[in-house]
Amino acid sequence: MLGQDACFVWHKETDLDGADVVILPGGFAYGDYLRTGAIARFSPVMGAVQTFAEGGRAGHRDLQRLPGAARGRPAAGSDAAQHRQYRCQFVHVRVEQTDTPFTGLCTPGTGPQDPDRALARATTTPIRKRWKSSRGNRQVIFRYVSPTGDVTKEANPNGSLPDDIAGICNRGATSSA
Amino acid sequence: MPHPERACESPLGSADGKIVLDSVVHSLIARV
Repeated sequence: MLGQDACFVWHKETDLDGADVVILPGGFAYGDYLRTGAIARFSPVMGAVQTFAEGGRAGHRDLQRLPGAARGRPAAGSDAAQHRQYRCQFVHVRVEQTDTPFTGLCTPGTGPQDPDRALARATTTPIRKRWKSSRGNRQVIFRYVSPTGDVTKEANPNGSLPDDIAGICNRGATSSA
Repeated sequence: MPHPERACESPLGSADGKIVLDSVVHSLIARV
């Protein structure tokens, strides 16, 4: 579709065949309660994935600790906590940064619309500290918005916290989640 | 978190996410 060579890498393999880009599938079974990312880290191939991500300085592990990328139960008081579901549906996101490899062709402040599985997150103190740092580093690249581009509670159906973050990247902008 | 790969073909509901993957390809080609 993109006109590039691509291949699947089975999780029991241990190298990535010199790939330029690695895309990890998300796992959405059972309402996201299985924490597939936590399980996947025991797969043999994840050592190579970690090395690949760290090759671009800050690693994927950094992303897992950042707000929006971390998994958790719906935060108290969030919409997700109220309907007690993780919803998978098309939503609107706003492009907040265009100087990343993931958004370079986007126009600031516009879509893409995105089917999303936002993960609500309890806002603990360490997360908040990291969030301040990520804001300072311009790491928030997508934010949930309404069809008219406004940040509203309804535009963030799974209650991603804080501040309706939909997508982030690491400091070197080499990984995104 | 965003799933642009699920929004790359109109028959699947939307092609709006393709620009994210196109951006990555564009960025890598520009670097070469």
